[in-house]
Amino acid sequence: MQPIDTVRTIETPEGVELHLRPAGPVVRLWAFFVDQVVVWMGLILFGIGLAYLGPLGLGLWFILFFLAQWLYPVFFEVLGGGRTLGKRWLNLRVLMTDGRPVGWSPSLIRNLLRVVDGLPGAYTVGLVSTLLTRDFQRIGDIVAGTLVVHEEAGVQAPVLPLAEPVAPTLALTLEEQSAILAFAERSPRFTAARSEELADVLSPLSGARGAGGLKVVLGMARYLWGGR
Amino acid sequence: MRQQLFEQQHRQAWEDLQGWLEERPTLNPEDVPPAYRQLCHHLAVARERHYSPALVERLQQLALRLHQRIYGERGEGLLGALRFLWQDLPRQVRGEWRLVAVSGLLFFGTWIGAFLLVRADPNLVHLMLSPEEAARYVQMYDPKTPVAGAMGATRDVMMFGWYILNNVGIDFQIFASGLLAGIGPLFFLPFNGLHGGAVMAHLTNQGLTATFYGFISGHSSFELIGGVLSGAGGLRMGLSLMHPGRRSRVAALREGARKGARLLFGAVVLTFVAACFEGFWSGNALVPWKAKVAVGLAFWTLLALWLLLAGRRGR
Repeated sequence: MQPIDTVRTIETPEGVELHLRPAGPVVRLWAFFVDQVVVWMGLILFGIGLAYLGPLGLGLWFILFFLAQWLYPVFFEVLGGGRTLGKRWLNLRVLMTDGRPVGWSPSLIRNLLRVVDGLPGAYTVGLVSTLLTRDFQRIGDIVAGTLVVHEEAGVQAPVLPLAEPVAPTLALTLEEQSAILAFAERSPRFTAARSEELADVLSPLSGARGAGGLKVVLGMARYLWGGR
Repeated sequence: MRQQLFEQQHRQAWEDLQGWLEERPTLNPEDVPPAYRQLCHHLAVARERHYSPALVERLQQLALRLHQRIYGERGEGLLGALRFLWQDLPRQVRGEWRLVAVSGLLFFGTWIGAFLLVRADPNLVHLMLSPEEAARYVQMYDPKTPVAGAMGATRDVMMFGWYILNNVGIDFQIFASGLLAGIGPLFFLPFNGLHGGAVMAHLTNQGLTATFYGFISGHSSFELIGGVLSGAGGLRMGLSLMHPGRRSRVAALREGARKGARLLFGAVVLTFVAACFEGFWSGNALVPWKAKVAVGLAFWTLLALWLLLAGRRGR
């Protein structure tokens, strides 16, 4: 059964499927907001400094304003691994729809088309577009072939809690085995009471409840994982 | 095979790849692609055998990061940009000459039309310009008004900054609004053309030839051709949306936007050059105006030759 999810699957030339998690409009709006705050703080601070230089300073400030208005996201997206400061703050990243990093041309297109996404004001077109498309793409994303994804948390080696391996008393399907392993890997992050409560669900299999049941379930995980 | 054994056997290979990603190379560069293919195989096997989700997730994230690193586009740098300007852009302009011609006609056609009309009947200028605006232009180019260059180098920089902000911004806007079925360029190009033509004719009628033509001729070629190219880029995008041909609309639009953005890139470079001249050369009062017009005409000729001839040989 295919679960209902926003995951976008891409197939690589090596023939495996990789999963991306597109980011919705609300979190992107926050990232946009953070970017705007950073940009305007920068423009105001530089403006105060450049004001001492008279017309020369004003000219430099015009150039800064131009760069901030049009090219700030492009530079950060291409050179910063798909992340402006706001996206970095909220763990978002811009990628091509096939999972590759975004290049100069697509980044320029998606950012210039903010003009269209901003119509008729307050990013209405962009918002409607993100709500209507499957991968939360605004018009600029559709045209450039990009999408904004949630950055995955760091890659960590899974750790199974120590327990005496116990062979399951029933033949388990692959999904069931996988569920037991997933539970065991996550259990260090639960409180003891919560772990036991969840292990109680398997009491027909483990034949015990409470701490004893948990120990048996963790033992089965250990066994399935390959411990002897 | 049990998961534990699988992990034991391959942990070293995964850690080597991870190390390569984190710039502490334990692998030779030529060993990376086979190791990556091996990792993809491991990921597929781990999924198929329903190894624990944490292991599958770890492998899939490692594969995703490697996929991005291995298949990432590498920029061509300055050399690539120069080759683009010298070869690819003129080629593309010639390849899309119909769109460029439409864009040019919308801009220069209306410009010349407005110029001729206002020359024939000076009062027609008030169809385009309010009396205050017209008076302001006359005052701006009055020989008695100090020109930009006479007010020192710092003011030059200020005007340069303003021209960048305003003119390149206009290019961007014309291009982006082309997505709306080309409406942006179809509106902005004739509007700017009519405005420019009316102002030019009005100032000519007032006899301000020397100051006006002296000022605009130096940068006019870069700025106006830049405007035409950004318009053509926007039209390219709008046309791809309305007339996708055999491809799906989205695929056609992506292709059109990529091509249009290349024209826009050329436009931005030209507009940037225009701003340099406009800020530091056009207002210079030391050069006689006829010399400036001669320089301006030389630039028109050079730009035309560049667009017509550059990049015809070699690939």
